[in-house]
Amino acid sequence: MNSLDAAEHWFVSKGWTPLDFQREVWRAFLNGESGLVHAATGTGKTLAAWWGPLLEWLHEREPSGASAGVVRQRLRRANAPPLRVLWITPLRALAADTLKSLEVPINDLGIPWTLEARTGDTKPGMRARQGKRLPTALVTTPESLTLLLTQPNARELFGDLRAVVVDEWHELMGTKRGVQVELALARIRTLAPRARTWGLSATIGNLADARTALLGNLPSAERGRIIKGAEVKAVVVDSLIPPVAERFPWAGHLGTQMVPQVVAAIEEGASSIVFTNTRSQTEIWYQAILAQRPEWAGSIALHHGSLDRRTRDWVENGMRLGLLRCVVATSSLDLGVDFSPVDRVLQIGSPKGVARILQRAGRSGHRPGEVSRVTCVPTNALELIEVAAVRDGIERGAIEGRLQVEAPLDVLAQHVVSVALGGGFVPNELLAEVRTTRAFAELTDAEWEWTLRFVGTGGESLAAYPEYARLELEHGRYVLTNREQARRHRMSIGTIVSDAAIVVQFLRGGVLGSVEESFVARLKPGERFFFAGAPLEFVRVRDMRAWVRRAPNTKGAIPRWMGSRLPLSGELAHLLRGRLGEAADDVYRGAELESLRGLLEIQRKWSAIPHADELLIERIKSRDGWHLFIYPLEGRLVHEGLAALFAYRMSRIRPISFVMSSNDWGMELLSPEEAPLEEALAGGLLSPEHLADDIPASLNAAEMARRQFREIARVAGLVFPGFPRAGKTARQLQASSGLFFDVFMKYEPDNLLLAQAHREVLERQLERSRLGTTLQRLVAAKVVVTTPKRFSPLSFPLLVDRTRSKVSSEKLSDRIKRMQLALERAAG
Amino acid sequence: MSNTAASIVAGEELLLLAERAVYWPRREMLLIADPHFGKAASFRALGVRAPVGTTATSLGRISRLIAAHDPKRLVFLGDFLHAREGRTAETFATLAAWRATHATLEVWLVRGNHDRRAGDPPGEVGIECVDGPVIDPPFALTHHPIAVMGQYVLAGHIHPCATLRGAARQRERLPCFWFGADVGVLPAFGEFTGCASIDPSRGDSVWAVAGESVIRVTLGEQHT
Repeated sequence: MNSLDAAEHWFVSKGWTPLDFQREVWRAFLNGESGLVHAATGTGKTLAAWWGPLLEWLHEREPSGASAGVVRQRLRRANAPPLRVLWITPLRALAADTLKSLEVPINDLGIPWTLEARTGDTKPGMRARQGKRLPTALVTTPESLTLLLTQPNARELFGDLRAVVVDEWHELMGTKRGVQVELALARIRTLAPRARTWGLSATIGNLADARTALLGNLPSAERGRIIKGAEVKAVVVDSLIPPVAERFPWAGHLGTQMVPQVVAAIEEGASSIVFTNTRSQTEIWYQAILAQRPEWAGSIALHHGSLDRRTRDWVENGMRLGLLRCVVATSSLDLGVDFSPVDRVLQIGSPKGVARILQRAGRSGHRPGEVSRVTCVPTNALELIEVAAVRDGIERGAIEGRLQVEAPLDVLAQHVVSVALGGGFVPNELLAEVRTTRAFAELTDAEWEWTLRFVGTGGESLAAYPEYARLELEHGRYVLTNREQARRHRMSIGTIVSDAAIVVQFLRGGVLGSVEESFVARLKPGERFFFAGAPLEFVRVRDMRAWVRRAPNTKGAIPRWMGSRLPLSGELAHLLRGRLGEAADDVYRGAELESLRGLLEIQRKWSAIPHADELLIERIKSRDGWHLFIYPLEGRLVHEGLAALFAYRMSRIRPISFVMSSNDWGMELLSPEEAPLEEALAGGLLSPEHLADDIPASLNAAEMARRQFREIARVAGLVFPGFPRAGKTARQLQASSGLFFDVFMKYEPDNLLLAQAHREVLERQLERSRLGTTLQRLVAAKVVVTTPKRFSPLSFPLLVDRTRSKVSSEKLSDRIKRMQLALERAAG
Repeated sequence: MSNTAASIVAGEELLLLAERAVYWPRREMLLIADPHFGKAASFRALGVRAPVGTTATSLGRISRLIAAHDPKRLVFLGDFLHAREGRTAETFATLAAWRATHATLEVWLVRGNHDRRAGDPPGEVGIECVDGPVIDPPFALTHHPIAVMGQYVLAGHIHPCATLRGAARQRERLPCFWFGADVGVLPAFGEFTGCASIDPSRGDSVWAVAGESVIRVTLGEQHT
């Protein structure tokens, strides 16, 4: 009986009508199918996924499908049905919100289900109750789901599961957390054959890949559906253009000149969201807006993923109740936090990608017939061209796909230990299950064997690893019984997300949120910094907490969080080259380009504007040394790889040392002597040949793999984030990932985690496929070398970039002889 | 044999060795700080798969230094064993076997903070363990770099590293020897040890270990 009546009636009782796509999802679910639903935020995806399992339950209880027979009863955990629906959400912040919207039909229809959330924020008492018996429907994060799999009774817990809903799947796929979910879903397919999986996603370029990642690499008959949700509204992208564009900063981040205009835009509507690209930028802009309008204190708020949950809850509630005039936020508000659309959406800084801007625009104007509008606020001149390029992209429907993560063995190692805790495994069975995921479909036997040895099945010769055999064999199954190691493993499951985080807390009172350990490590007692919008004075670190007190409003540092620098998407980079090429032919389309005419004329006069089929190289001598600026216009990640490659190839011509930096437009190679550019160009500097040898060599030279190893070491459990209140003993058993990388390189160079670090640098950081195609393009391009007298507008942002890496072919001792001891602190 | 650098400290000639050790010719004494033996083993004991062979490699380096300088005595300036968890039969067997090949050498350990937790090496390793400072004028040999009245202190503990800058924004961080007015600090000897940046004063002398060489470095201009 597949009647949709109960859902139809409920919609009518709310004064709504179900959308066609919602009906389609319900039917597919009742029909036993899995699938992926894609649509913009706030278009009814939640109810599409939720009513399937509800209808199924109603049908089981009352074959007629009518809800009249359901008797409201006092519900207790013990007599509620066992776990039937798992709802996975990428952010803890979303769990409470999701819970609220799922609750409504349950309450209206008196369905006797228990509905709870389980995240890192869940109180111990509730956790204990859930440990005994899970609710009928559970809203949880990927980490908490993996933790559930480590329960010894995992098989029973999931026995009656009917539906797994993965919310915001586009955010998870293409990340290691996404792979963590892929593995958990494979486990669930084994433990709960009746469960169907549904993913909810924004519209992205590679939906078929998204479906495979979600549902597994299964035969075509079980491949699942892709259902398109409600149509998106028209999207308008405009920008705030500074009144005097020539005086607009050429580089930099704050763009304080724009604050008055941003404030004016906020004043145009009753409510606004100001999106930024990084968490530190939210802190900066919150302060800047408040300085301009002190009377807004209390009606303006900030929201990012490192703030304490209670702060975020307060902000989200304020948005819902219309109490806030403006929220400054990162992508933590991009996702499905449910509140009514705001009047204005502003985007500070580079738009970075087409899909991203569409998503953010969706936060405004939900009323029928209204358009979604996003106003971009460039923080430097060149970002205006990116805004124009995004508009081109929206017109052409050039929406980015999500890059996939291939076989990350660190995540697999973590998963294998989780399964060993959750009832144990037979290696061949688990291998077959793991290979049903997209990420590990091509996992080789050798990689699997290595992973088993790494997690400690004792298969390795005991002489090599005397102290190390974590897993025990019991009746043909590998299990982990050591309680201390089980505890360590459970604590490290959340570590895919971020670096060791230090909680920021007032000496007497509340928790503000968390910052990275590396930021706290640089603070000295008494130093001031801004966090959660408040000026704070750092007192001390104790028990993995940074204790602070409120400081008078003065200047202070703003924390920076790692991994917060998103590159320009390939699609946008392509569009950008097109716009710049037009300018080279003196074509300035649209308000943004028009306003940049003066600046681009300077670029042309001092150096050149590259056509789409040209590669511009600028060579400048300054007090700092010899600079080479190279502009492939391919996005920062590709440029980092190319910078290392170019530096490496030039350093083979003669001993020389380079310091490199990259941004979305190009790269800078700085050296104490002039680099042999002409010789290198003649000898194949841009050639796509010998990449298989040159790229690994240049990555080693630039220590990129060593940096990437940071995350791998954490996920694989080599570096342990530590217990709260860990004493000295625990600290003696910590080592940095860099140290691990060095000793592995020396003592165990065939360690596959090292190979993974190289692979990840290539595939995720540098987008190897793009590296190759970029070189194909560059080798065919016309190279234009200019020697400007001054730094050109294009080079300027690279000069102020402070993240640098190095490549050298000189002997270390020769380099050192020219160096001096640095004084980190200024006198006085 | 690798490079060494000779330096006069408290009127005595000391050889600063690229293997991150000091040789004091007049007293025929080899000084080594912070070897942290058994560190990888203690990680493995806790289920963290650290690589094997770090202890053996460190001991090999000591043997090469002994062969090159033929010292009468060897003094460890603290943190000989890393942690209690690293007190494994393998580690001790490796140490004892190494000790047997240098049977006539006098070996001392001035205990450090790690040794207090990890305990002294067992008798078969044949090391005389004492609390510091050990006075051998003009030096006081100890673990913590804290001034001792009337003597010049040679110590370890902080695993010093020098941050160097050069033209064109070049930057390098290297283990170093750091000699101040009353206290000198040796770099950590262990294979599996990190290091901490130092903040030297004018008048200090700092020697960086750059691969095979030990190079004296000077203090740069003050900058913010």
